[in-house]
Amino acid sequence: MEQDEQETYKLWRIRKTVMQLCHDRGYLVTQDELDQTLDEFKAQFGDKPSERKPGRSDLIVLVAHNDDPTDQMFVFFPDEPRVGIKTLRPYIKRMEEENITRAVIVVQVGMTPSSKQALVELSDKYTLEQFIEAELLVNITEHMLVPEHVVMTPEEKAELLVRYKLKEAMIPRIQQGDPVARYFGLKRGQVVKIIRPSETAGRYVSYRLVV
Amino acid sequence: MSVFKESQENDDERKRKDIEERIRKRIEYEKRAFNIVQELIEPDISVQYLLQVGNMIGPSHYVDIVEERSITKICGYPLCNKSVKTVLKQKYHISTKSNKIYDISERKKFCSNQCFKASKYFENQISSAPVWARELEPKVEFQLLTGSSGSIGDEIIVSSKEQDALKDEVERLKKLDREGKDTDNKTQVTEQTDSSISDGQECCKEKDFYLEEFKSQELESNVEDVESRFSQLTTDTSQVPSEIPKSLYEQSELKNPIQTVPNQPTESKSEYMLRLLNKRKKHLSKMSVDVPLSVGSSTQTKNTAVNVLPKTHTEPQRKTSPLRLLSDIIKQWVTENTKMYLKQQSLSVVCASMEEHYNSLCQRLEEKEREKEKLEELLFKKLQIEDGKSKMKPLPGYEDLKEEVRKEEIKVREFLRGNFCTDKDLQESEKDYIEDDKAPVVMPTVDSLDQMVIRRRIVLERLMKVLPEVLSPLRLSILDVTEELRELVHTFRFTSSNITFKPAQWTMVAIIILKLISNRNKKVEESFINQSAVRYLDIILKALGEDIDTFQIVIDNIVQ
Repeated sequence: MEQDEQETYKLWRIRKTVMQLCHDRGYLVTQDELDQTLDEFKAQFGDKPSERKPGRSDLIVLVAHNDDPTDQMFVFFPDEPRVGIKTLRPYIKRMEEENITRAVIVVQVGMTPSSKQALVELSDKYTLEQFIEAELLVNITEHMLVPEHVVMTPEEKAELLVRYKLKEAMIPRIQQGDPVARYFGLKRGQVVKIIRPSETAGRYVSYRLVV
Repeated sequence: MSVFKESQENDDERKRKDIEERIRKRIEYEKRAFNIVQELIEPDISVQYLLQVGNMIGPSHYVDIVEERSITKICGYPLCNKSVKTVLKQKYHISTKSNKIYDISERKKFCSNQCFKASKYFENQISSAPVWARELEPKVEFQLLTGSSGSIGDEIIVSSKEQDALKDEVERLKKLDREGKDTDNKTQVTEQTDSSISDGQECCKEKDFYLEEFKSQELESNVEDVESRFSQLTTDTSQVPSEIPKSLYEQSELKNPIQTVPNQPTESKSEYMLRLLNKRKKHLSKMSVDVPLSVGSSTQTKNTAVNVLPKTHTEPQRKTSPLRLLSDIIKQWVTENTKMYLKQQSLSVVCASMEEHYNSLCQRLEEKEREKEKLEELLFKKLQIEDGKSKMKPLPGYEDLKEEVRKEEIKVREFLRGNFCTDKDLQESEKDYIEDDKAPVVMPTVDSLDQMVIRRRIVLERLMKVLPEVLSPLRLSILDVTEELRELVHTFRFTSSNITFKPAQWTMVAIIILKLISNRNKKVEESFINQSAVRYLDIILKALGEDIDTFQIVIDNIVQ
């Protein structure tokens, strides 16, 4: 009973963070879903994870982009604690069927090395990102020490380079594996604008190129 | 210049291409290994495929395969298609049968112990070289494990460690038990010697003590003082076991003059010699009081502890001189072989005459053989004539046979006890044999555990320790005597009770043995005539209250 309670709470937190993540990436998420309370979550999915109510696969999310409704993203929740290649296959198949190229996989414990390699193999065709559940219990971008990150569009990036007469290599960098970069699903070559509060200037803006 | 530049550019380009090609190849190999992993995850793998593919993957790939398979709930061993349905939740398995704890986190991935073992067996054969660097390596011929039962899981190291600790503890306790009551006495002794030897326990203080001794030139009185102290000590510790307390031994080691030399560079050689002798004297005088005790108590322990060993000597009288006592003990050691050995001249001298002798013997043998042949022929003819009436030896009587068997039995028994047997001993032990039928069963000795071998080793070790001291006044090197010493000791017969001496006594034993060797070795004999040797002997013997003549008599007595 106690465990069920904890598990439900965990799943609710994770799903909430996932929704925020989708929202921050520019996918269409209703305000109801973003504000969902624990009770609403229980009403929608049930409160007995041990009896697969909800099972992790019930939590699956499909969101479409604000600007381009054909650009959709899946969020998968595998049932197995450790994800192997075999678990990935049905997901890939489903993405293929629905012609969706982007997905986030939320794993419970981890992935096998070979399945990670499989993700890399597929990376030219599909964009698959993996998060561990523990990483999504809190939304890191809401933390007080994490400044605001804004992902720049290709046009904005081009304008930035022209305006400051910069070359790409002259912009400070941020790693692709950076937690915030992963949160936003950044790819190599994209630029983020980081806005920090400053005592002297009010706002301090800096740019980072993803490497 | 430009040509050179061009060629360099060409070189660079070629290099770049080379590297690129190599990297591409590497990626290709990795990809192939990955594909194989994907294949092996599926059920229904043929044996041939597995054997063929084994060379193209690394251990990490195989671990992956096992894990991937277990995720899909089939047995981790690629050749097994059984599904694993009931998976235990716990991480460890405690076997009550073998009292061991197993880590079953690996085992959980397989359907049976056998699959687990077979999988491990296969995994161990996989080469650990990177998959792209294997072109030059010989291909591994994989073998599959069939039959036999596997283990439950990896044994936890912790458990074995604890067990070892437990074992050690038990051993230690046993040892303590064995030493038992002796320990108290021993510690008592060490404490007393500590306090009585000199003002302080540290050896540097002792050195000062010696120096002062010399400066004031009150040699004799000091020695007497020490002597009296030692006699006091020995009366105090009349229950001392014959073993030498270790700390006492170490102390005497520390006092070794060799170590004191560097601290006192101004000391002249004669002074140093004098000091050495003085110390020896002190030790020996102590010994003279001590010896009867040691022998006495050794017989005591023998009586209580080891019934197996026959009584080879009776308790000597307390007032005899230490030299006599030592010689008595050594006489116990001496066997026929020793006497033979000592009477023998050094080999090289004997050689020529031996050869001559041998030749004549051979000739004689040949003649005799010829005669014998003739005789046999004759006899044979006679027999043929006599035909059926051939005379045989009369059958031995039953009583005779019984007697013979009994003697043999005694001999064997004595041998197993680690004794040699002479006829004289035989008669003695025969009495024993009749007296105590309930003699304890003696197990035959294994070579490495043979008491004689161990005793021999102990004696040699001790002798080697004191030899340098003794050899220096004799102007001999250790090489001159080692061989003979070793051979001589090998002819000795030791018992458990007669190989324990105090360090000072060992010195005396070494001298006696050297003297014995001098019967055989010319060089050693000459060295005993040496002036320094004579002086050394004189001083030592004086300390014991003996002189050279009695010493010679004692030595002769031993050999006879």
